[in-house]
Amino acid sequence: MYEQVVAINVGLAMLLAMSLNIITGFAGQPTLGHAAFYGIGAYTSALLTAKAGWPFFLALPAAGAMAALVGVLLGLFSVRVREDFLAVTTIGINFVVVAIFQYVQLFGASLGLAVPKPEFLGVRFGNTEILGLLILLNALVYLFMRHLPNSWLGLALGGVRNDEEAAASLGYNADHYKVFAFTIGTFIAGMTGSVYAHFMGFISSTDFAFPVSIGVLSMAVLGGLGSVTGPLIGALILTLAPEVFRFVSDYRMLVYGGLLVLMMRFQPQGLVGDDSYLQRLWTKIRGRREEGKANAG
Amino acid sequence: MFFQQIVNGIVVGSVYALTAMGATLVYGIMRILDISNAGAYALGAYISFFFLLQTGNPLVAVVMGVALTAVFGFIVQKFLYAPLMDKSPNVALIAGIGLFIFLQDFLRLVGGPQARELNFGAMLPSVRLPGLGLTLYGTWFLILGATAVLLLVLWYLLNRSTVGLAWRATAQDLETAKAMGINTNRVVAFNFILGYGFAAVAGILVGILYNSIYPMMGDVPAYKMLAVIVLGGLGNPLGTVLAALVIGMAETLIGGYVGFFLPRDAIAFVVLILILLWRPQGLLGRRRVS
Amino acid sequence: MPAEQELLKIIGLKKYFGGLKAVDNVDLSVKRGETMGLIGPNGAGKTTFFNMVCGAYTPTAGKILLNGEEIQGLPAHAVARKGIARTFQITRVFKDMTVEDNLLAAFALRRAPGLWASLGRSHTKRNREEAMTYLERVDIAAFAKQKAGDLSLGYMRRLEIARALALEPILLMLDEPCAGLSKDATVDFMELVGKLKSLGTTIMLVEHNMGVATALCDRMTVLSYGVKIAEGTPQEVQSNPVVIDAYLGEAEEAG
Repeated sequence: MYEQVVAINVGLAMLLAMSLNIITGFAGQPTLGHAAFYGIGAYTSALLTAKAGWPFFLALPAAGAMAALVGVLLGLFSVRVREDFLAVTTIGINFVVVAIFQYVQLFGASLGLAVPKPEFLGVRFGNTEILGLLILLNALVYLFMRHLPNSWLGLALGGVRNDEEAAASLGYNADHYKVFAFTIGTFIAGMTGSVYAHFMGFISSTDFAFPVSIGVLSMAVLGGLGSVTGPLIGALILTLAPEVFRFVSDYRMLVYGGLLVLMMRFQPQGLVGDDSYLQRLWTKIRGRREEGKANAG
Repeated sequence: MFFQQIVNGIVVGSVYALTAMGATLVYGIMRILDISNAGAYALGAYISFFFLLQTGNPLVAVVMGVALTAVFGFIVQKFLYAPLMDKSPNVALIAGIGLFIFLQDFLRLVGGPQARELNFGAMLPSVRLPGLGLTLYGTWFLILGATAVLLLVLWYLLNRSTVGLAWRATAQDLETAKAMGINTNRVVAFNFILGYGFAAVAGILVGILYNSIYPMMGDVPAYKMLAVIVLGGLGNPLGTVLAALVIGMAETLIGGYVGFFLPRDAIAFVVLILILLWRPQGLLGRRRVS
Repeated sequence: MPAEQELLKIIGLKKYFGGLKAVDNVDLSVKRGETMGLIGPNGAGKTTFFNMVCGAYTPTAGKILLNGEEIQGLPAHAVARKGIARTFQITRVFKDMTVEDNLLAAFALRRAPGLWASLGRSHTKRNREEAMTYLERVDIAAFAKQKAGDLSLGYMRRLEIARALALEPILLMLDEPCAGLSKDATVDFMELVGKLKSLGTTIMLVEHNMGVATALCDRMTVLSYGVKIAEGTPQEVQSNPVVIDAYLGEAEEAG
């Protein structure tokens, strides 16, 4: 069913955008190569199920763990290499990872890999089941994101993002928290990759190329980096945009590029980021409602 | 064969130096990774192609390609980047990516999706040196000559002219430069004109070298120029030249001899990552002291 | 002076930057409950000295003992964990976070040390109420929900101090806390430090302004060109001809 496939794509995009938001939005570390971790998860899961005969539900967390392992390495790298140097390095990691998928036999090289459909308690996973799984994963990650601003970790990442030296003066080891943020974010991206692989039934290296990373980053920025709901809205809009703009299909990329430019120029904090037009509107409405309540009471 | 590879590496490195110079200049002042520079690279080549078709005169084609792209750079700077300077660097980065996507698709719609010939190469003779097993193509002389001349002009502009003094002061510290009475707005504008101009030159030369231009021709430069400017130390023109040669050589020699299993484009990033582990501030970057 | 009274003892501290002797062989001790001033003309090495104690710089040589334990060379976060809290000369609040969150961030050291504990909830009723008491102590409770970056400079300083106090430090270190403040804000600020002193807080204060230092400190150490030139009560130091020379020299250079 067409709607189901679109919904699955939205679900995958939302998970990716939220996972990137942990690293870039909360911890303030640039990531321009997030698709690498998505790909590592996808390939790990594909190999474990197709070649090693693992059941999908073991391969799913293993895919996350493998991505997180590489994520930890990147996190350690981020301790030494900073800001724009780090940003470009993450692009590099994306290219190197994709090149490895494309040229190493184990990963099917240019032929790609076929991935078996998952089975659980005798139920073979079709799109409906995949969609259900994605809704579950999205709910879990969303709950975590909701919790984050009210948690010690959220405060620690806020400190690291704003000023590492000041955070250190409060007893935070900034390096640990950076690596931790990379670990969590890449773990989620890896699991998402696993779901993607089993949904598609076939993966190849270009599914995880640099433009995919840019797409994910654009979603998070469009919605509002560092906000809880922003990346979800960004993922929804940018995944649906190509479907909606189908009638102008020849101008799709033109519209997409133009929208990004206009958006950054006039609403750079994202659609629902701090002090954005929508957020102010929302505060106003809520203020009025509370006023109404107070008057009634 | 060996000499052929070396010369080839130098030519590739020169192309990278030219391609990355525009983004280096922009970074030097604005501290943003300007991916739209790769759009200017394709735009310059296309404008040049258009004028070559119209006039048949290669000189007019090159001059118009560079000049109009530079003007476009001025406009982009004024209406897009200047207002974003006090925002998070992510914002300018995404805006630049958006502009790059927009430009590429615009070129595809206007110029068609197919590759076009930018046929100046046939006018230039090749030289064979059988004793060294070396063939020097006419386009190589053009690239090396143009790179040398442009880098000298740039060096002169930055180090020996009043504009260059203002540029260097602004690159050091924009606020202080402003306080000292330097018109930093003008420096930023000049910087973009120069940055986009350089990108156009690079696009045209690469179009001539491979006798082909196409809407997506900026794709590879978009990320490779970032690898080059970061390796060079970010915003340091000399570092960019050095890094471009290192990456050009590494790609040619590793690709040609060692038979590395990874493709060319990944080699650049492997080199980048290894060198950054050793020098996190890039080849000629200074460590920022807080 | 009995040894157990000394909270902080510094012996032969040195910091060389290449050939420049920024701090050269300085001894210093801070007793429990006292306010020690570190003063001296511009470029005397005060901030370098301060940064070594806080862990921002590693000393070239010398010892820093906190309660008899050597802490020199520890990284800044480890020094904070030993109980030394600091403020910065140029305020460093977490600008995009609320005032309340800035304060709560300082509780983690006591309430949730370590990565796994950090997954716990920070904004509990108890923590928020406690945060308010710290904000009230420096009179900025009214701004709890505002972005810290929107505060005036004077209020940012107060927030920084509240944040430092929330660590419940055994030693509070203030780096030129009055620099850049208006006269009124300076007077307010001196009152605040007076209040902290009366609560028994041990304070080390770097100060360029002699007037502020005299009013606040029990004892002062004077640095000039990286060397300790005097130590004693504010009255003793002020009448010391060597100190007068050092400050006069600066006035002449400036004039």
